[in-house]
Amino acid sequence: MARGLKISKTAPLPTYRGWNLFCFAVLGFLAGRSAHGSGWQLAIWVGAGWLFGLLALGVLSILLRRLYYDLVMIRGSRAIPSGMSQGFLSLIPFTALALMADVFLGWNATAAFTSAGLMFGGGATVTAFSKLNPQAKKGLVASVVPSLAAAGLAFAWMIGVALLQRALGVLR
Amino acid sequence: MSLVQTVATPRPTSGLKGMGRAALDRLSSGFAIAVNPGGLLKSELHNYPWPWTLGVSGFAFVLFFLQTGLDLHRAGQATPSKVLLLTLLGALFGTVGVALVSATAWILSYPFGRKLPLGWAVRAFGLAYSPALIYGIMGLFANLVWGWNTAVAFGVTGFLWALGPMLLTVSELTEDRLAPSYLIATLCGGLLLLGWGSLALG
Repeated sequence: MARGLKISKTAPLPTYRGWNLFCFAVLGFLAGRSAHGSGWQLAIWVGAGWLFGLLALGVLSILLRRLYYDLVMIRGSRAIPSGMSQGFLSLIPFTALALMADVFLGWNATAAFTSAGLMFGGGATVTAFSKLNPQAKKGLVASVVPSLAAAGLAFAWMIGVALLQRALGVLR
Repeated sequence: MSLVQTVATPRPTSGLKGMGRAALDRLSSGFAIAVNPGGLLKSELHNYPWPWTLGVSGFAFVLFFLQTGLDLHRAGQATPSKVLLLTLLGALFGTVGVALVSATAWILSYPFGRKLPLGWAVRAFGLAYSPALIYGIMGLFANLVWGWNTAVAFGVTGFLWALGPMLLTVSELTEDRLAPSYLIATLCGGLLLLGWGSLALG
């Protein structure tokens, strides 16, 4: 997809995991604002968002490494994190718009932006993988599982937000 | 063969019945942009005339603005004439507004080797609102039948489903350059979000 990915087999594939985790941290911040957090609580929300991103992408990476074994064989072990991080770069516009909706419109809709961003990221990951290995025959399972897993992440995010909100309420 | 290719195969059309069938074919395959936006953008977009695609986005925003009006009317904050005015504003925003935003994306992608014509961008942006149209219809149903306030809940979700196809459209316009794609898509999405938010809900 990206120019940056049109590289030879000897050059390392780029990853954008820093940007992915930055988006998760910002979404954590917005979720904290929605929960009326302030000060140290917002710092916890940012950290929790970042940690969720780290864990979610890690788990997804393990799953996809098995599912896209042919891609790993052809493009090397960095192909999975590279394709995934590129797919989840699509969180950027969703995060930016969630920020705009919060700041300019005062909407409390971060959960909807996060869910949509994660689910689109799953689909975009499949696209990124198919561009890394255009010759591969894309099976139905390999096409659908990343999107389903991303939907699972969106659900986990909502559960996580509710749990953290409750935990911080107890601490308060 | 992809889902889009399967459902979008043009059938021979003649007379009024044939035209109706062609419109139904376009409608059903246009909704497939929610499932496979890349496939539709690459191979099927030429089947959709630009007034038709702007009709999709126009109708989606008509429904969102109408629901805002109905919500306000139920709360005693809008007269029937204001509801009608909001609906007309939605039609204008969904057609002229979306066309202007797609033209903005087309102009901004020029320095990045853009090869696709303006008509392509307008068609792709308009059709991106097919899933939003579904949410608009569902929202109107819930609004009228159950009396729910649906403007934000269904509107935001519908709007977000349009953002993905818009991002892919901008990627095609910038010849798959990552940073410009995300910047332009964010700008266009922001213009539409803030425009809709301030006009209808602000």
